[in-house]
Amino acid sequence: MGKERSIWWKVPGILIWMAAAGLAAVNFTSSAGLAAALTGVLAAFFLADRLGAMPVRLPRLWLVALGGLVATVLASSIARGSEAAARLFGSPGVYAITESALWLVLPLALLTPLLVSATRYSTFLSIEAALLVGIFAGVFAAHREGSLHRPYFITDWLLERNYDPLPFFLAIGAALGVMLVVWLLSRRSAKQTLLDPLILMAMIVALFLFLPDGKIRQLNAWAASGSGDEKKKSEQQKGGGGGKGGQKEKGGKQENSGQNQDPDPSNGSGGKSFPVAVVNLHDDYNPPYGTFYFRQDALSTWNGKRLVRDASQKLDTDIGVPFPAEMIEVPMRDRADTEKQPNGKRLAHRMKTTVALMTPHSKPFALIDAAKYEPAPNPDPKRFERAYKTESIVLDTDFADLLQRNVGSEKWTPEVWQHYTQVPSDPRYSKIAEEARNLLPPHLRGTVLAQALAIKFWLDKNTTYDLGVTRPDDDSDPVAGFLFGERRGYCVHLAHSAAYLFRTVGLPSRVSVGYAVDARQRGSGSAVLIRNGDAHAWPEIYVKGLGWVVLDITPEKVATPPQQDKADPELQRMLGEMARQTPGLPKEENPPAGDGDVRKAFLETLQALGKLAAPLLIITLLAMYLMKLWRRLEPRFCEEDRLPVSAYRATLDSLADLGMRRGYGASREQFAEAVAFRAPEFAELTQLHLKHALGAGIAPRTRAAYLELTRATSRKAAAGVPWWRRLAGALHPLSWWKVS
Amino acid sequence: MASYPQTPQEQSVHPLSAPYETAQILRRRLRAAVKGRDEVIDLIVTALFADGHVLLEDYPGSGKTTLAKALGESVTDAEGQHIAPFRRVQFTPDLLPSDVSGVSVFDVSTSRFEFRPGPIFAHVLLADEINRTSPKVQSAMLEAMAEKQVTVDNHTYPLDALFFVIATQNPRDLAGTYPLPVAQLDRFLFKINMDYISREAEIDVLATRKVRRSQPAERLVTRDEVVEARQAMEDHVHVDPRVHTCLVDAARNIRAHKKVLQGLSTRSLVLMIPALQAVALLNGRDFVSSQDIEYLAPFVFGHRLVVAPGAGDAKAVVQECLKGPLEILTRSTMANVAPAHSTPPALPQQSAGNGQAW
Repeated sequence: MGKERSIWWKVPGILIWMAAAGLAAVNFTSSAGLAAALTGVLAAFFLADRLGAMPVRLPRLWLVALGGLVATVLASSIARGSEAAARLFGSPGVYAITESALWLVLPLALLTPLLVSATRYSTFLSIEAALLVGIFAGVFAAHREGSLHRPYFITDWLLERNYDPLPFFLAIGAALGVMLVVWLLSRRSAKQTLLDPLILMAMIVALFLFLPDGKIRQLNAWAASGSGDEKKKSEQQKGGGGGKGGQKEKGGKQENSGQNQDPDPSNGSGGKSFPVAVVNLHDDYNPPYGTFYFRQDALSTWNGKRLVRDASQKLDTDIGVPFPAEMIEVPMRDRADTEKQPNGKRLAHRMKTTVALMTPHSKPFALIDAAKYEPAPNPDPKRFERAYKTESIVLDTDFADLLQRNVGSEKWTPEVWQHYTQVPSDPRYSKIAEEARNLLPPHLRGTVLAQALAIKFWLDKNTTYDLGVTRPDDDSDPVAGFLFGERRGYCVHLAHSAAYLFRTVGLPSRVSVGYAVDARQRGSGSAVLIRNGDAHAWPEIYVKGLGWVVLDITPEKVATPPQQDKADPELQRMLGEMARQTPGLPKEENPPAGDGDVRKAFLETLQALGKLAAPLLIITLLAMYLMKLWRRLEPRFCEEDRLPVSAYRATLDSLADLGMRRGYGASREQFAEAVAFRAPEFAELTQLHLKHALGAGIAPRTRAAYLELTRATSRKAAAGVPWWRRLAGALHPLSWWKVS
Repeated sequence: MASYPQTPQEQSVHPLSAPYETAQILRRRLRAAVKGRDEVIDLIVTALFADGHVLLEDYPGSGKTTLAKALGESVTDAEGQHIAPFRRVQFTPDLLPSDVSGVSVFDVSTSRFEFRPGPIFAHVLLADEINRTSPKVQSAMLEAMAEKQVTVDNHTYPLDALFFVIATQNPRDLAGTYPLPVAQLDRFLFKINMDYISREAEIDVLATRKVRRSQPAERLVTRDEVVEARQAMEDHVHVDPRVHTCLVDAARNIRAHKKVLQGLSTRSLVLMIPALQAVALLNGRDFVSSQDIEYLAPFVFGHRLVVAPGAGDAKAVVQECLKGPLEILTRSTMANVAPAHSTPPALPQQSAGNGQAW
């Protein structure tokens, strides 16, 4: 009771609020605004300390504060639009001034009344705590989705310096925890100290469970791609933008939409990397060419200017497969022989994978070469868009081992040959092809596939990987300008150039589009994380008996090094684990429970509790109403001796319904006086009651007299109260609680 | 102060009717004599009925002499006794105890010492600036107040039962004074801090200067009426045991308060009871309510505490410590168990349905 705390007890509160304001502000404002926000918090505490000692009316305080906030917002928006202000201070000056004003007033207008209210009603203490946790948790909420890059302002700073952000997040969490604990301990009321942790827990759980995480994920992708057009993004098959890798392509949809077929590498280069899918390999496999290629689409039709998707859908049958609703065999003309060769080596083997998509895709993709697609249950609809299984025939041999093979297929008609070898009739292509062929040692010059290899080497040697080139527009030839110009470009240029040159020497080839992931990224796990930056386009050659085989170009000269942000192995492993969960299976069958399961279990528990609690709640409510009713009716039935108490109590109850209650420490007479200006009868009733309780004798009145006093008091007291207040009071099941 | 003055209609019957009327007459007389001091007047009447004494702390010229004189002049003597209604002693450093109590003078005609009573032999004594006199006079004075007797030359002379002291001291001008220690302050029932009266009251004082000089129309109160009122009040104003509990709890709270260096004496609690009864009577009630405690406690307890330096007002401490016990008392009235009345219902048949307090 009445313990005076020193000012130092406020320090944790101030610090923690400054931290919260800083975190909330840093994402939205300049450094001037940040400084203003911190100052605003200090000012709010100072002001609240002053106001707390004054008899300020809370509603008035809130009104003034919010009015001030609105006025500031209006004033600053006017100032920003005003030419005179800009002339006077310069545009940056106006911006700094208005931003500072806004962020100074914001904490001042919200925190001051909250703090003052909290000194009077413990409810506001809880609101304060809830708000605080909401700010902290909101800032870090995206992080729980496995988005290690959120919040940006922490990770960007760390990643630039090559630090792992995870320990920092942990440190922040621990520091916040300690601060919250200290802050809670500095509270005055013991009850509140007990109540606060419960509220905090509830808040955290609520945020964890109910924050619309799907939206956040979309937001991530949106923010990361650096493109505001979400619709466009979802239409594009590869999800995100060009990504950091840059030497990738996301196009592959020239015909069916008028969208850009090639990415603008500079467009996405500033964006963030985010996961688009995770592929779980069912077997251990390392591709001989060191890269996992996931094919989604292929461009093979020469339309006179460039390669586009085969519109007839008769060719490139391996990529025209929709998302599987049932098992789909991919119709392929040639397949690599998975049997052992006479020399004991295998050319290829079958391998199954499970793909879980995290962003919308228009078509499935699979590790090359896809043989089968099978549906798979989505392991966690909150996290993954969809999932499916694939079976691929994967090569065990490098391209170099295939040199002796021929190209094409016996089953091909001349039209098919024509389709896959059609190129512009530009003699310069032949010239380059000739130049490349001359690189070969004489004994290999007759080998068909060695020519392809030569072209690859020539391109490796004579081109420069460069993200800075302008994107070729939809209708123009991406190759001629590249190949006969500076030879600077990225995967789209390279893949098309290679395909053209292959075709020039008569090799059936096409450009495939999908994702390419460095095989080293897999590490020792079975999951391969695909990120938006892994989108890629590469040239392929049809090898007899094998089908389409990748022959990718890797320029030796690199103008803009692809930013090597490595995929986080922890994230890869974790997402792989999540994708492997089978929904609906009993718990013990998948012991490594991801937090999705914890969440679900928690929700189920809540549901069960809800089912249990609902009848209990109804019964309790009923009991409350019965109690209320009984207390009101008691004076009609009670013994004469009890009338002064029961009639008085019934009157107090009806007054409490109207919101009139005796304050703590106020005497009955004071309360009676407060009510008496409306209902003078209450004073008499109070006297009768007190005389009965504290006096020497019972004041004998008839029951009718008591009831009349009660009725008159209730009626007159209710006269000035609005109807909705009366209704609310009448319906309140607990209005009688603590009436005394 | 909230009150529910319900004027008794059947005064002749109820044992508290006459005391109530007496108190009202005194109140009215004093109010007519001194404007703007209603609260002080109520407290003084309360103290008179509670058989306590009052220490006024105020500035010169604030009407305390007028007040004391009006009180003294409102009480007439009973037949056969010749006690002055009102005496005033201006306490100075060179005052001697015998100046207050009286001296034995040698009568040559009878060759015996004869006692000449001092100013203390009066109904109402105004002890002006009591802190200006030496401690020996103070202690003689205070002994007389407590024991209601004066001892001169080894002979004890009883004072009248009504004996009532209004002492004053100036709270500011403390140079050359002998401040009363807490032990002596304990003998005063109330210490009342008077402030300047309100603007309207002051204007009224100037306007009615002449009128007030003439006697008020109210009748006088006899000494016996007051003494009987004390007895009736003690017998018939009910003090519930929960009131005792509340007082003791409050006192314990005060003693445990960290700002309090010296807590309340038990005597102060004992003195509190008649004071509470008197307030209840003044308010037309025959029982002590929590409101009475809340109202009186600062006046009764405030000057009996020694609070730590810089701790502020002792009255605030009292109010703070009182809150919890008072709330318990207030809530206890709603207890389901009907209170066990220690005395039988006084006069139920008379008060049936006529809206009076008893």
